[in-house]
Amino acid sequence: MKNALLSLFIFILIHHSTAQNNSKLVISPIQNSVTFSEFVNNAEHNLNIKFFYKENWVDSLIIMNYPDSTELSTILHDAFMLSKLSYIIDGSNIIITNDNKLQTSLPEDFFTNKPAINIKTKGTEATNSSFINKPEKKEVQISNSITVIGNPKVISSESNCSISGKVLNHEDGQPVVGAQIYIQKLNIGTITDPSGYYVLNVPVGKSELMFKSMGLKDLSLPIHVYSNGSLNVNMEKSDVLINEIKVIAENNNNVKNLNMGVQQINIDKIKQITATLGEVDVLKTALLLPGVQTVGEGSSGFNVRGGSTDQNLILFDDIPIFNSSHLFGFFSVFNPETVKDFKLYKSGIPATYGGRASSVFDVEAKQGNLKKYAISGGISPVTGKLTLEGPIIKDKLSVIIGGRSTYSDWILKQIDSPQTRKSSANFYDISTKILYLLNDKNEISFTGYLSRDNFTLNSDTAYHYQNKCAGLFFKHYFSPTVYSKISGIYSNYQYNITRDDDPELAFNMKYDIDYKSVKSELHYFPNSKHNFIVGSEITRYDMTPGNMTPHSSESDITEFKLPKEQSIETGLFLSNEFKISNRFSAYLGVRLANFFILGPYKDYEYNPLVPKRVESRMDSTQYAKNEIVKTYGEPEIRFSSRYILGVNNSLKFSYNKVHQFVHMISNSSAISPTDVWKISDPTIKPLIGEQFALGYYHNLFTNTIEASAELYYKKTRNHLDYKSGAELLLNPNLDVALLSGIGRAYGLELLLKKEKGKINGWVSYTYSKSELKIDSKFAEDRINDGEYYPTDYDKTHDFTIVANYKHSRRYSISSTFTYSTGRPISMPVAKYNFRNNQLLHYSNRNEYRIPDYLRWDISLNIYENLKSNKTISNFWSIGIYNVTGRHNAYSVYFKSTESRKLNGYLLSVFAKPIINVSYNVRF
Amino acid sequence: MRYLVYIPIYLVVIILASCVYNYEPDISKYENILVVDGELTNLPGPYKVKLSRSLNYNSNGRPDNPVCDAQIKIIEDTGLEIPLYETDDGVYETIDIDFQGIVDNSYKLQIILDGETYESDFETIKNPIPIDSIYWQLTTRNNNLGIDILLDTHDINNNTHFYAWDYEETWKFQVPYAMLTEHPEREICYKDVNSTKFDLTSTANRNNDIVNGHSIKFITEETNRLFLRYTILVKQHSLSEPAYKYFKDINALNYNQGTLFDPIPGPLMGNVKNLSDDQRILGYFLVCGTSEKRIFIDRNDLPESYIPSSGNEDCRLYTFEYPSMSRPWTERLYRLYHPEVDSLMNKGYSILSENTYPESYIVLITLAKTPCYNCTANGTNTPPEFWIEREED
Repeated sequence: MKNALLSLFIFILIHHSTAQNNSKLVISPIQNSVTFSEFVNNAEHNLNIKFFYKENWVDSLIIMNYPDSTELSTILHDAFMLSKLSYIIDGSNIIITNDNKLQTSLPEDFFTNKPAINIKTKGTEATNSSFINKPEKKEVQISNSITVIGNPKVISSESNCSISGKVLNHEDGQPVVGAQIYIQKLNIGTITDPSGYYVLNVPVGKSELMFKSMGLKDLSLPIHVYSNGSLNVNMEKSDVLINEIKVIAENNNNVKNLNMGVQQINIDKIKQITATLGEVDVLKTALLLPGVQTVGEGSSGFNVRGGSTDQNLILFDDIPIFNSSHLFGFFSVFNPETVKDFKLYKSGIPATYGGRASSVFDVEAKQGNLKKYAISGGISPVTGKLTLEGPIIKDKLSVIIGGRSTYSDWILKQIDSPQTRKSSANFYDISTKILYLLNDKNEISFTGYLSRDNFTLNSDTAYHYQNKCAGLFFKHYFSPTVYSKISGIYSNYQYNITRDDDPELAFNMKYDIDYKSVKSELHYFPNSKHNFIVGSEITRYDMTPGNMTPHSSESDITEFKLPKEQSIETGLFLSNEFKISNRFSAYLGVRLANFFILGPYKDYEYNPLVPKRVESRMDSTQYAKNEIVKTYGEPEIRFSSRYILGVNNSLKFSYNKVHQFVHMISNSSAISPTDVWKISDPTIKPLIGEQFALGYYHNLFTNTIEASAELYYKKTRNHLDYKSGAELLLNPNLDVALLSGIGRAYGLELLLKKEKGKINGWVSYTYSKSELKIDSKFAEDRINDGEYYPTDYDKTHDFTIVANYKHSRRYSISSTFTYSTGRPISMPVAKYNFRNNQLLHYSNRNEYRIPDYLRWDISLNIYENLKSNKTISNFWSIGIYNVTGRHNAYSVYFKSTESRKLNGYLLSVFAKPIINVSYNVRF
Repeated sequence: MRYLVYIPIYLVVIILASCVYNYEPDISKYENILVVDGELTNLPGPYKVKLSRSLNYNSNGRPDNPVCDAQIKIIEDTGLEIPLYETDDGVYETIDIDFQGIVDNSYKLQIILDGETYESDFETIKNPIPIDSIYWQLTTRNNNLGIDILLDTHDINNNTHFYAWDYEETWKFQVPYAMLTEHPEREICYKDVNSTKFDLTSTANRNNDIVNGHSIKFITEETNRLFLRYTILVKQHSLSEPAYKYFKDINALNYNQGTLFDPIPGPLMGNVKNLSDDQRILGYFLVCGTSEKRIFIDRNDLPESYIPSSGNEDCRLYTFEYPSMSRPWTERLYRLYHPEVDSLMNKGYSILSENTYPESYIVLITLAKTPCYNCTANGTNTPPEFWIEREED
């Protein structure tokens, strides 16, 4: 049975629906008998048709001589007589199947031009509307033959069978993620997972399967199901999205799925949105989503629902990225040319992920084209880019490699000003992905990533920082309903600070964190009502918190090394997504997160009667190498549920708990490359975050507009903050410089989104609060007297409009508008005289706010050469950043001047409208 | 609307086109906190402690808010108590001329005010390290030519690590028109300027406790400091580690803000606290070992390529003629008669001389800016005690 199932992979390729009359495929006379392969080669060449089969099925087949012109069907019929092979003629495609004889009594319309099931069954009105704009171009692919699934010889005892398979993009062989597969009449459906895989329970017999995905032509496929089977589908790209077919009650993905607080945007959409200074930026796009905020214009770190920047698990193909920003935070480290899409979980974090309390930002790398080679390049005001991709073995092994680099140093050299003479700044990143589809059951992929930044700003001190990552992934399909995934992941972040102007004082400062992990997971879909995932993850952290070394032998700097820290994080997870009734679905997951701190380690005991200081240390214990110093851990519950209220609306609820064992400690409001990552130790307890979220989803105007409202409440324990004036870099007593408290965040997010049509985009409004409370029995260890105070990224109101207007296939205009409350800052509450100078006194943290932030960007995208057989396509983007030229405050600060005067200043980084042009080309 | 086109100049945008605007927020909150400002060194007294209260950020009133009638004493770890007496509003001084800070002894400050007792932590006078040398060098910094005054010092015991410097500058200057007035003695004066902040260095991360070529002061050609003769007294303080950290934080909080990665400002309290509730107050009672060294720099010693400003570049003389009258001319009448005089006076000009010529029935007045004929406007015309003229060779 299993064998039969596996041999029944049917590849269906659907070309433009310019179907000819297939029954009239006539083969010219064949004089000598030929091998089947030779016959195929000739026939493909002469008739412009294509055969699909496996070589080993036909290696013994011979085609006899036919003195007269003969119909193809006759030749095939004769040839297959003695074998188990059968065939389907689908337009210009001839599909050969093994061990599956087709019924001889195929419906009469099998060989006619008429689609087996007409789209008109979906309602005449809806169908018509889709053809108004471009009547000559059908947006729906309709297969005119029936696809047989399962073995007709096997009479299924059940009324339902499961079909599974992959949905791939016809053009490049990429998996189509989130494609909807459904049978409308029966109101059943599913979506594809991140590898394009799906499983659907369908009734035995004939039905019509619909495949839909953004940017691809809808595909309607008549099927006849006999037993369990596989169905892999290639979907064609629709050249330009003009107006997708609107079919009532199908597109309520948002209403029907279990996802809550999850946003997914693919790279095409990201590219459409106005880019920051002409540089398409994945993270900056995420900032336009409700509930995602940033401290300032130039900080790449982002805050999700009132969580700090380190609470986001930023993944690039499952590899955690420690530093997500280039150039002090003005750009993110992801090259848009090698990114496929991103998915952001703001709540309802699945049990497969752990370790960061606020969100999972999962960036998926693009896989190389499996069909043909492509080169693309581009130039923007910031970088030059080059990407190469293609099949090493067609349909089996593909590779993509992309790099980009700034050329700002070159520009700086051209401008000889005292401000730039001692400045330099550059970055580059390279990423690659290799995909090897061993066979139908196994696939291996490798992702590699390197990013590096160097900068010197008006000083003799140079900063270098880099991410170095690699991941090896192995996927195995045991059966259509079970597959496993094993990953080996390595990620390293390090920075170096070098000063070499004065040989006597020249030094090197190095920080390094190493992450090594093995993760395995098993997915099991017994039927369409359950979806189980079970797995484990084990991670080792090795951290060098700081090494200061002399730069050369001349240097008088003392070598100083902080002791290394090491630990192991483990996670065991089990989850099930299950359907309780047609209206009610739920996801329940448990993750057992544990953390082991390993020696060598010196653990201090502090006198509990006085504030924690170096002086209050009483005793210490030295732990040996690999000895367990301390263990943390608890089970974490992840729960999501959905209840469908009516045709177009649903209610969802989710709860999740996450432990976070690595913390980034920063005493500046922007992410700076020298921020310190710290792994939990006996005194720095893991941060524990819990979130409750409730959402209402409603699709309006026949699903053209998705409306949602989400409410959340979050609380965190062991939230770290630093003591005022604390030294974080190279501090041997970092635990004493830190305070810990509790956090709370709550808010309401409203979103109206229109995905399709000439005008698309979204409008969002967020009301949120994010606060911390650091209390202690000792006055000195309290912040703001132990009361709740707003975090640096607490922005009460946030309003965003993203609008794209597609004027024609060549031109599109995009505009983004954002408004948010100014971030909290501390302002002086007094001034005083000290040593002949007037100084400022600050007291409570974050009592005031900088002025509100408002920015409007606009861009025009021009696409050249839209012919479908394009060999070169150009893409221009012209944009204006900050159209109104508003002086948005990056920071507000106060300075004491020589003349005993105090002044307040507002620093605005992009204080003028900035025009930028970028150009991209693809071969 | 004017657009700036930055073609590939992203970084330059950040460095050159980022703008800083004045910003005066409305800060309504005001914390009234006691401020202590005192110093005890191994150098001879009297030692001063100033006591004041912090001011409202928006206040433009008195720059000081002195606190009077406090009882203040310095307590030595030997038990010796030295009282301070209020010599001016909020200024308290040691009267005992025999009292001098002793190296390696520890001291604390005690303030009793309105029934509350405030005390600093005990701090030790560290061994003062003599300054090896102070010298100057002609260099270019930020495209400006100037005289860089540098300092070398070292601690052979490798035990000081935390240094702070401040200085007192004095220079001689000349004004052009004093000889035309009735006060020719106002031609040459001396001006004093004290540094306003601590210049700090730590050698804690070095193998040897050495400071070489530390720049104390950079004098550009734009000032008249080196036009005639100049002297600088540099005080070198050996700080304790907590004091070093305090002054470093003071500098970071008050002078070094405005970068892309500003540390978030917060309260910065000193080493004096209220004994009843442990609340710390503002300011610091600094206890440190101090040494000092003075050098003189004469214009004649400097290379000719260095051309300092005389400070008199915008001095102009204006003479106006008036008919003589039976009654005397007054400033109001001068202004009325010659509108130019009125406008010059509004610009800060004043009458430097007034001469009546009865034979020709005219009155001549000469106008110049006050600092151009009266050096005491910017200094004092008696040389300070320490002033030494250049020995002609």
